[in-house]
Amino acid sequence: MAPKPKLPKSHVDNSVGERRLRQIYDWLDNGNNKNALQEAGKVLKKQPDFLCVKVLKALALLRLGKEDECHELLEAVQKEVPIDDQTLQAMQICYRETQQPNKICEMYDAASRKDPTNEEILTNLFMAHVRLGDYKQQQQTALRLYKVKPKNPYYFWAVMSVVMQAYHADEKLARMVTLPLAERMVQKFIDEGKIEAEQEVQLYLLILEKQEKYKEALEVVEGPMGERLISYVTVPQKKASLYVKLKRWKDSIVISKSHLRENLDHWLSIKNYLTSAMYLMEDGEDLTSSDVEYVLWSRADSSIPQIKEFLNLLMTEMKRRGKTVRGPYLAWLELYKMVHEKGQDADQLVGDIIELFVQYFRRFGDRSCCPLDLKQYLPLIPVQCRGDFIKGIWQIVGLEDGELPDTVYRMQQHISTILLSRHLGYHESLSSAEKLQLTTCFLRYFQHGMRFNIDPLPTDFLSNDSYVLLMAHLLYDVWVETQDNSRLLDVLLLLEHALLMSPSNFHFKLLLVKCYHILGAGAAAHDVYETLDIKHMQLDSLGYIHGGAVQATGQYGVASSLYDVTLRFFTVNYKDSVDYLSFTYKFGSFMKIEEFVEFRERLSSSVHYALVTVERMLLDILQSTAHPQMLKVISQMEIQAEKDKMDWRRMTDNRDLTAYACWDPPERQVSADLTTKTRDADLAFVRLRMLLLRGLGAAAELCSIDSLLPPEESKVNKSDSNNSTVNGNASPQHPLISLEKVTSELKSTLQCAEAEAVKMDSSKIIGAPLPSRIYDYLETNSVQLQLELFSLISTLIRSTADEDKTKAFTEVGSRATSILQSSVQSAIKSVLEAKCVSLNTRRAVFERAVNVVEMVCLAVVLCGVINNILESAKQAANKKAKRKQKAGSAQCPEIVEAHNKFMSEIQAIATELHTALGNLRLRISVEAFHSQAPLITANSIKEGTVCRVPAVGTLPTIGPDDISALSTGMAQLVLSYENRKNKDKGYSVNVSAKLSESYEDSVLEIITVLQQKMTYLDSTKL
Amino acid sequence: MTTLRPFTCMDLLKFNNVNLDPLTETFGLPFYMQYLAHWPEHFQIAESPSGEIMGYIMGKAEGMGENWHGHVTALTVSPDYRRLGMAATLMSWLEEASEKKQAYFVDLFVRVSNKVAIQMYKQLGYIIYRTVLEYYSGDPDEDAYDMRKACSRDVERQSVIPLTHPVRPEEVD
Repeated sequence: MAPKPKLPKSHVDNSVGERRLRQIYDWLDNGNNKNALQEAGKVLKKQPDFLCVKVLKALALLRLGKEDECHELLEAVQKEVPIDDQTLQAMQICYRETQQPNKICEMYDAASRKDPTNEEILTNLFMAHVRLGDYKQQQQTALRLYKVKPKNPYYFWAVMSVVMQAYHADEKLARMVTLPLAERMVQKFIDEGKIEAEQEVQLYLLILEKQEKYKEALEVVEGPMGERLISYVTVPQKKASLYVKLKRWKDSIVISKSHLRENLDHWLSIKNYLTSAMYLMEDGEDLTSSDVEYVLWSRADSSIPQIKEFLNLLMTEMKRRGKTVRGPYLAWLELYKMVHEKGQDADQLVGDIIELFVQYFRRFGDRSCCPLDLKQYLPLIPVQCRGDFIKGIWQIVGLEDGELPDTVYRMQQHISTILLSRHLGYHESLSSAEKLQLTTCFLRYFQHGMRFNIDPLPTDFLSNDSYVLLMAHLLYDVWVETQDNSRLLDVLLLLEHALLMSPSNFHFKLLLVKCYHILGAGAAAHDVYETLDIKHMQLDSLGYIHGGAVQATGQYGVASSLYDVTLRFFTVNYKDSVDYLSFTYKFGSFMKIEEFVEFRERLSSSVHYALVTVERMLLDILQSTAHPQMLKVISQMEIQAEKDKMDWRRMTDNRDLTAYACWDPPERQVSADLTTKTRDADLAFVRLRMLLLRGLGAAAELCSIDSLLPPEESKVNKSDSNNSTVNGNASPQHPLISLEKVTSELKSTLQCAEAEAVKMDSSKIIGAPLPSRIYDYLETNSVQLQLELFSLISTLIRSTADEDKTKAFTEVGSRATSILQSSVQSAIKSVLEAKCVSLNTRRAVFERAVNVVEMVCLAVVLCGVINNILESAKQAANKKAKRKQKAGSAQCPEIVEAHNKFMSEIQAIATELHTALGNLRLRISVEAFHSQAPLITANSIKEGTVCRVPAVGTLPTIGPDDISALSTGMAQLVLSYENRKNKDKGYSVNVSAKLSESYEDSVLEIITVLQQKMTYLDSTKL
Repeated sequence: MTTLRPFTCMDLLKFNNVNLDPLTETFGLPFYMQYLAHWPEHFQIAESPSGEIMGYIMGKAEGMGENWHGHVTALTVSPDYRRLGMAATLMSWLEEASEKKQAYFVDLFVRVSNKVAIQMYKQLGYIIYRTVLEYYSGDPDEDAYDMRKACSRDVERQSVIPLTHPVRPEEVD
């Protein structure tokens, strides 16, 4: 989204040159680069010094793929140091498209020297520094600008640039030097009475708060400068937070109370009020007697009775105003929590905890926010009182055992009750059979609840959707306990049906994606994933639900396109976001600058981004169909061994692990520990993969250089004329050295990974990401194979005497083949054959197949490299022999023979794997999913079956015949629903067909890749 | 709870429970950043006591002369926090911010099919100012209502005299 080149309006005059310039711009805008080039050529013939036209010619050349000519032309123009805006703008476009932001700086810098008082050039120079994040230069340029045109914004750009230096400096330096400097700069302006705008005051506050000078900040807010904060609607909030930071509890209480008087539901004020009052109480101040003049609204409360008095006032006031809000109710629970956390008897001091819950529930039990609001307070209920709590809210619902709710209001209260009791762990203690009974019971509630959805909007959730999620979670529980995959099939069936009725419920979709993945059905998962319409930032925060898993099932096509979309977000969106950084300066939104910088760093160092980048490249390499193509693919990748020095500790985890709705007890929620461990596993995987990629890059580079000699033997100042290194840095490392470095790094990284990779069983946690790919990757010994293959190449080049060479080559080669052989055989025996039967292990089957096929691919690709090396050595030797008539250095036939043997061994292993995959395909194609024990067996759902919430008492007694067929029940429901709505389906619910198709698709893709590689190998034989 | 705080970039990585909703558009990163850079005070988020995102409003201030107004670009409430008056709270924030900026009115576009939203805006005092033909692209394109509410600066309430004829998107400034 680079801004389209447009003629600055001020330049529109009718000279011939201008008109023709416009013509060229039009061609360029319309993508007609050839015409633009021609037109530019014509103009330049008449006016050879028309710089802007030259630049536009360069732009046309660039867009026609003639990058070198473009650069040449641009350099020529730059030498003349243009200062007219038109030319500079056009050059800026060129440099943006060639991704050389530093050139933009250089260009404006040169221009500003030539024309030092030009405000526009300096402004552009400042923004160019902003794009590069060069804060020191920003500061200097802003001050230069201010000298040229003493406008306030320029001065504050300089101040902000100083603040940003503090952001990146170490804390001590920032505190001692940088921030005080920024403060003094503003102070100077204040003293001279030059403060004009609100943004300037905001920046001053920012600087003061960063130094924890809250007193001074408060003085600003309360003083005359505070009046400038007009659009800053949160001034009172700011004041309150400063009072809290300054521990001015009395003031904080009073101001919070005044906010609450205006808005009874102002949660931040409730929190501020309670915190401050608790502290004030701790200080032991008794203000009851001395401060009699305070009325309740403005008294600085300092004891529990006083606080209670105030909370009661809030309640009364709320009733008086006739608008029920959650804040005052939750305030009681918050107070209870604070008192409890101080180790005091909260029941005694605040009130009966159950009663406080019930009080809230009575008002909000029918809202979906109810369980979410109460969740954080549930741990306050002692275990022995949990029953009383459930009983208490159950009484409000007021349903008899087995009675179905007569109103939507009651149904929603019922749902809240169930969710809360699940969160308290009531479902944990049930047996699997009981859980299934409960599922059936909820099905009845769900069915019954359909009557409360009259003409529902397809874009809204149904009011009874929660029952479906509950059923799905119960069935999932049973699957975890029994490992009976029929239960997982039930989940799929249930959710697919439910989705027909409530097509916008993304919770259903998220869970479907997960369950399809658990069963190894990547393509089926992808179908659902697409309906989630995940894009932009979500590709990063939600990428974990799908990305790695889809590749692990062999859905290479889907994976690559998913990776492409993701990378486009990171590269394009990310790049554009820098423009908005410069906007923040333009608009004086100083509060946002640090945030923008931090956010951009967070995106660029995202673990997911790194993972997707490396996987996308590896896919390309591994899917190449012949050696020359592989070389081409790699040469376009710009794999720079040295540049990949990532700071792994700074990598950020941007996953949103709260996306999955989950009502499980705390021990079954996504914990901080799980988050760290899964992140670390991903990170370890990325590191290994990155090294593999670098190794492949170095190996490929060996194919395209003249001198295969190890560098220490080659001449020191070799010119590297043919070297493929792109960046043109001083003296690029010899690829052999790179390869060997990678090999040793890979070895140590593998050791760390193996030591740290302890697979944790997170299947009980609904929101947990699927297990990282690292586990199977390590188990297959892929990295060991890589190590041998890399060292095979280095052996080939390093060892000198022919005899040794052949011997060493054969040795390393046979180590490699034996690793490959054993990995493939164990994969065939203990995974492909043994684990194919159960759907539970289907995912493992595909993942293993993908991994061993990848190993074969690696072996084949590196065979191609060895071949290439041998061939060029042969040619070189022939030439040498011809010239020097020296027989000894001719290519020794033994090594070629050894290599051919190596290749045919790999060929044999590949063939074996191919046969095994063929068998797998056969087996998969004939299977059908009659689940061995189709769930819930009986015929239909009987009206009036007794259903009770087990949390309250005993389970309903349902005989096996009463247990209705979930699938039948759901199907009937959908049918009646569809009839009523008179809509066509458009979304198939044939779960077993979806699974079969997905499996067949996966195995076919895996076989295809293997086949390609077998042909590849054939084509590389010497 | 109706405590609002400024929306930050980091929220973009956490707002999935709001944005997976089919009627809530997820825009490209630059779009959000443009709003955050230009009108940070018009972009607010409502957070629940337990720290979850309940909803947010995204808006701007624009227009020349008597057309100077606040505009609601996006307003969304998570399915879990509906029926609590969240939307009204968020809207009143934007109205207040527009008042402080001395706007003449606040306006917004809504799909003509979105009856629930239209009804809600009416309750909040908005009127249908005009119809914008085929404003939303899709199959088929859908018309939008341009709804408005006058601010106190527009004493004569000139900004909320409905147009009698529909307009085309290109006529909307």
